Amino acid sequence: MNLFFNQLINGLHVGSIYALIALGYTMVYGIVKLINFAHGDIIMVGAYTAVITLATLGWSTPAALFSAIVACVVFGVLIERLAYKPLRRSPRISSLITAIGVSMLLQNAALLVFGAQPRPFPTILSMPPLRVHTLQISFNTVLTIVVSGILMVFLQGFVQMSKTGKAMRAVSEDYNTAQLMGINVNNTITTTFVIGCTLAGIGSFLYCMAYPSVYPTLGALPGLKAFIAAVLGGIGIIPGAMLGGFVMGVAESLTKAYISSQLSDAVVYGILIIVLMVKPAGLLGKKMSEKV
Amino acid sequence: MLKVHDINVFYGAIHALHDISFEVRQGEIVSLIGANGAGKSTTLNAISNLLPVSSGEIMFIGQAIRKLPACKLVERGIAQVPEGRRVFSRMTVLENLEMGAYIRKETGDINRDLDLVYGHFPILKERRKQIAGTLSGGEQQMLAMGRALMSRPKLLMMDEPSMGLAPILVQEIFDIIQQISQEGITILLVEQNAHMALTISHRAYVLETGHVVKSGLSRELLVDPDVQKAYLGT
Amino acid sequence: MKKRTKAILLNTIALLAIYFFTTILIANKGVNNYVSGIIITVLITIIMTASLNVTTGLLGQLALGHAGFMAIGAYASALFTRSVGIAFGLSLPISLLLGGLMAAVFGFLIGTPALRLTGDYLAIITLGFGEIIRVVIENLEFTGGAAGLTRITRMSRAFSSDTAVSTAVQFSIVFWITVVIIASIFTLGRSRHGRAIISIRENVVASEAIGIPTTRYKLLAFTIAAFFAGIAGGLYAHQTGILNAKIFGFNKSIEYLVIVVLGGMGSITGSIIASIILVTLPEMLRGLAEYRLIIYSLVLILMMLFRPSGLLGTREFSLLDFWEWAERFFRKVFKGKTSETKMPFTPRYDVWEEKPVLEICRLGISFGGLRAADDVNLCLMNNEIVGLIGPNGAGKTTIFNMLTGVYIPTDGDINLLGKRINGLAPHEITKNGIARTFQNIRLFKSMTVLENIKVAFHSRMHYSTLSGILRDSDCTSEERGIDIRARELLRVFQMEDVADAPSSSLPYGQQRKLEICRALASNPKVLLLDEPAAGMNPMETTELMQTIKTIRNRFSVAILLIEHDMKLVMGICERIYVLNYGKVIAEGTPEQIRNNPGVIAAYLGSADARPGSMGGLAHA
Repeated sequence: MNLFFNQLINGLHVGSIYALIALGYTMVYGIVKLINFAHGDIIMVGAYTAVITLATLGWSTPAALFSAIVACVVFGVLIERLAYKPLRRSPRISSLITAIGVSMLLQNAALLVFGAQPRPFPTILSMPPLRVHTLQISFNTVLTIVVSGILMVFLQGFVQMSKTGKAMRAVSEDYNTAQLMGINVNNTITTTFVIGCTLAGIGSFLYCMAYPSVYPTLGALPGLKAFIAAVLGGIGIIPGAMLGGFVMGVAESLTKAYISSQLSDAVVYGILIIVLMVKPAGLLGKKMSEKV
Repeated sequence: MLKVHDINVFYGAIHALHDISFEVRQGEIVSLIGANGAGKSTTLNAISNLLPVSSGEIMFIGQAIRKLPACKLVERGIAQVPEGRRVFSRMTVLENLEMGAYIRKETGDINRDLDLVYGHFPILKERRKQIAGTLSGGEQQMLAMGRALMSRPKLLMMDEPSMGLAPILVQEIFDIIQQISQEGITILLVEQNAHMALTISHRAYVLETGHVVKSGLSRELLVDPDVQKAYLGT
Repeated sequence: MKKRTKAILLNTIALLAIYFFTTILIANKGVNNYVSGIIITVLITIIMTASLNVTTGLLGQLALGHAGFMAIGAYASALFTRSVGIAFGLSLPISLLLGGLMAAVFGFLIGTPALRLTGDYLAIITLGFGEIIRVVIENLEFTGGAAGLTRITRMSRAFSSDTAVSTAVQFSIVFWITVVIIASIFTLGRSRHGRAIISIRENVVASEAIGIPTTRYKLLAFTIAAFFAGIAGGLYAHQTGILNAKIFGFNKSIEYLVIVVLGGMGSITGSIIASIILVTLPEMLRGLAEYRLIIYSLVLILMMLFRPSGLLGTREFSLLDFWEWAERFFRKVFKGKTSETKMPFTPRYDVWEEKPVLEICRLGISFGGLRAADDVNLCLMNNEIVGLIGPNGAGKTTIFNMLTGVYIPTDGDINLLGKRINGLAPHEITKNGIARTFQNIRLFKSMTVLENIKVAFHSRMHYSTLSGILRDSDCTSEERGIDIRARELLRVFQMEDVADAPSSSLPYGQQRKLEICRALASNPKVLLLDEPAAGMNPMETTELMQTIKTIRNRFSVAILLIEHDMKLVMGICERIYVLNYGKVIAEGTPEQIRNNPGVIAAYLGSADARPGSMGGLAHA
């Protein structure tokens, strides 16, 4: 029983990181209908920034976190302006391929600059683990889950209630009509990227705290998993990304514990397939049926 | 108020608008009539800068607006009710109206305008918490108009407001258009329903395959034999 | 014919020249193993990308798990040759076929659930399946597990003790298999099955409505793509001699997708050219070692920014003409006769004078709590023109959707020619004799006027997919018959002269006419027109009224139309049903409806003339 709860908590831990990353995917997709394949590699950028500022430059943790966020945002906005914006009116597959190209570019540039050797991420928090009944939960885990939870609630509220959030929703529904309202769509899209990348920056920090090794292809696998999580919950839907992230994390954890570590990927994909068969638009997705 | 001079618009290789010129004076209702594909919607979208204008001039209250980005036009006082309503169907009625007032900041004034809009369209007040996508066609048309009014426009451009509406609703909408005009807002109306358009407007321009082929006082065009044959079906 | 003959001759000479030149070069050690290895890889990549193009380009659906099918083919094929004791020269072709079939089976199994989704969701699900395949292969024992499969016979060693000769044989095998596969994909694209697949890409709702069983065709395209990928996998296994499931992951699928997009989705020759460039380019850049992939990704990004439709877009070289000609030539030489023209069907005009052709009894449908249609009774006699009017949201299109199988009614019956058709799929209903047009015109935009009509004849044609690929006599005779019928139909509507124009270039009124014409291609007994006059001025509307009357007279169909334009409705309908809030509130002749107080209150507005094309009751 202990094992189950332990794994459940682990699952929530890793799931909340997936959720943070998934939020970035889902927000961008919602507004520009683009699967930003490079999002996972933005995580890698944040991770390297963090590890360099912490380990090599010896900055304090808040400063390192801040710089990771800044790095992610800068890269994200640059990529948006240079590679995605020109393709807004092109067929969607072009943006997809470009995103793939950017992802490859980031990975290989990092390989060139930093080398393939993984760098260890220093331990920054050594607080005693919490005890609940017979369970021992590491402080990291609690921090990650709590921080992610707060961010998600805040984000949802922002999108639903703030003027900018409503503008984002308007742009995602109807690009042209939003302009007729006076909404500056370019700025709105950039804002979306900024928010998504900020979350990615925080996510990268939390990820490194959980898996303290930084290397150029770090972002690929969690990026893919987070993307699956976003689709699982219903792509474009913010609560869906959160739900999807947690489901992915827990499923992965439990599979590793009870079935097999190698098959955990297959099981996760299997869950995705089953969910999409039953609910084609994702767990929280609403089917947008075509008007006949 | 609005002066369009010799504008040309291309869709890729297709020359959609040829040297179109017309003007709308303050307080008027001007209509653009013509067959489908004549270029009426293209003209409105060109003025709103949703379509690139390759040459020509567009002046609004003495200032050139051709090079302005689309989202800046609302500030200047131009609002459009797009073809097919295009309400934000996943947002509520109230949120749609709030979007209309996006560029405005004074909450007190915004609320007053909200009441004015509710005055024109009482059903919107009733349905203000309802998701816009669930409204009927006529209600969506009213929402789209109300939304445009929320920006306190000087010029209101309407693209085919009667499209797909039952005849009884068409009359209602056109009555409201007249009311809005009497409140001092200048109106540029694009319409398939030539008779309706000519009945309520002061002046009109007839568009055919991207050219202005006729213009004049609406009441004169109403009895013009060419116009009657082509567009009034008599 | 002269220009074509020249083109054909050129293509044949080019192919044979490439073949002989390369074979001789390899056999005489003119190129080293490294280069010949690249050549084979290029050919295998061509097969992979061309097959992916069937799903992504022809069908228009993004599939991200294509490498999974390659994996299945590779392992199936390798396991076969490894375990069977017959000569390699015999076991190889069998194993390739086996690999292809295994992959096709999986394509079918995966496609059946997956193709219920579309767009990004389909992409994700195929990605998921591809990954599951990889993970499972990695964890099975008989596939060698994580260590992979080794000691697979290599084509470049097995055919002769002289490596160069054996490599030349390898090249021959792979080259001609590639040519056959490419040619098959071309001929498939030109057959009626290819048209059906393309029409799904263009407009799936219209495709279903004109009688294409879309699910079946999506599956066909997917399975064929998988089949070819499986063969490619088999070739790959016997080229490298070792297999490791890791290489068949997501990254490989993406690699092929990138090539397809860069070559132009929908252009097979584009895939060929892009394959050649993108396999050889990284190899040539090997000298730049670490910068290689950076340059590659930059090229990718720049290509997308400046030429997003790919190298060739959807255009092709005329490799096809050659094949068609060669087929005809060989047939003439060997069979000595030209096949006759097979007409698809003779229009039949049943006589249903007393009984209604369409009868709707107590029809109703609920969406959750909303009763969209309730206790609707309607009947349509042969050759009648009946109107269905009512305010927006009254349920008119809902009824059409039930009639055409888009919705399944909750209560009541729909009887067409005496047969109950509730709940049949849209393409089956079309086969039974109902055709419809849509409120917003749904033409297949990238097809010509004639092709739009030809697709609609699909359900009346019979030749199989294999016939289509081989372009045998069944295929060509039916195609010729269809061509005649389609042009006949266009002639009735005075559109024969625009037969070869792209359908998107027609003016609005003509597009509407084309849509109606297309609906008639399936020889329906009942024609449903959904707001045909939408967006038309009075002159076009009068023309439309004329067209509808012509149809009724010439084709002996019953017509039910939804309209808001009162002039049209009052002008040509013999009877009118008025719908409000899902119920029929009135039925009668135009005269009766015009004066019905309930109808006036709900819909028409007061009778004191609102002049104009709508509601002008006194003038109507």
